[in-house]
Amino acid sequence: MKEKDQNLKNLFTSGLEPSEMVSRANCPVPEELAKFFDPQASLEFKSKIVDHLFDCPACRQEFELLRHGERLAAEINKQLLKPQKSFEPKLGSVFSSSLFLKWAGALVTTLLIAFCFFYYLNDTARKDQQIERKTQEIQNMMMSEEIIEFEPLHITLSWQPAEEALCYQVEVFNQNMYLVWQSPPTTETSLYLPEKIATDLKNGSYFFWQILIYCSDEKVIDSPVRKVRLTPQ
Amino acid sequence: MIDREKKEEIFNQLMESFSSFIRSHILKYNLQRFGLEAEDLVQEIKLKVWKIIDDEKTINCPPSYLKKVIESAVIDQIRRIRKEEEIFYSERQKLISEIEPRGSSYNEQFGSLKELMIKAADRLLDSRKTVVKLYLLNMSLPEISDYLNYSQAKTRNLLYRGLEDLKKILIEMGLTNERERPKS
Repeated sequence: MKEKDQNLKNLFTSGLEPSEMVSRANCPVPEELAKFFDPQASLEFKSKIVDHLFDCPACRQEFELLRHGERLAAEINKQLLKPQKSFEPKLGSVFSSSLFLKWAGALVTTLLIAFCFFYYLNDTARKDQQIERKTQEIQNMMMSEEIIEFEPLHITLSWQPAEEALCYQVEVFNQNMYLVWQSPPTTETSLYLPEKIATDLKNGSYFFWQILIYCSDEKVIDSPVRKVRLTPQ
Repeated sequence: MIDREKKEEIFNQLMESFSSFIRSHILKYNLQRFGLEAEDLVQEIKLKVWKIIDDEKTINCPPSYLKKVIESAVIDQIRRIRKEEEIFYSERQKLISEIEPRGSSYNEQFGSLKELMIKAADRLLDSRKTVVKLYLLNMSLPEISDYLNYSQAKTRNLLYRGLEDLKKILIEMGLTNERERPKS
């Protein structure tokens, strides 16, 4: 700073000290003067305070007291107190700490397990509902048989097509409930019983048959067992 | 990590410097007439502040708490001064009105130099005015930068330009450049 500017400052400060008292009615309250040192205070507010200080020696001397108080606080803070970490580094240290990583890992794993568990439960329930619906449909399935009572005996078994059925297999039981024949898998909805099986069944007064329905989801659903009466010879 | 003894030593040095300022301030402005004693203020601050330094761990944010403690101690003293000053002033006004019915002439005692400087500074550009006024109020460049949240380069620039303008205005208003005193 030039000497001339310093002189100007000296001239100003020496020429302005009060020898007389003035009314303080229009002066800012001490808290307002102190607010000048608040970093959040607006520039407009600070300019207003400076304008007043320039014109009011009494406030100026109070301002000097506050200013030295501020300086003392800054010096003590700088020399004697531990540096305060700002929020961001604190946040950074929390995120980078091993404890945080452990907690985060545990939380993610728990959430993943919970998700899988609920997904499994939901999926199983959905599948069970589907099976139940299909079973219900199959229970109401129309099954019929046509018997031509001539030599040799001709037995035709027919059924209503089932939704989502990939193929069917027919099982035939004699009157003692022994399995006597099992058809190969077929996509047809009717078949003839082999002549030999039909002849054997003729020895009894009735027989049973059932359809095994192979569905797309690898499930096998049993149809109701149907009892067929044969006319005794 | 500073040990307690070292802390105490630094603290006492800082307080001694503050105490010297308070004493000189009181003398300069004759504040003892309003009952302000340097030791009262210094002791109060000293006790409260040492507690903060010594007990740093139990305080949530020591720097802001420290600032608040010092600030409120100073504000309390300012309030006390103002209260005494008001009583003193009203008594004085009463006396003056009894002796000089036409009123006090205290405003005239500040003379034309004060008015000249204030008027000249008020004619500066707003951006330069606050910086120049703070400089004339005896603040350093780093202090002004800090209080106004300006960079030091910006503050220096505003100050130099402002002071140049101020000198021109003062010359225009009749203050000579050589002696920096009014012509008349």
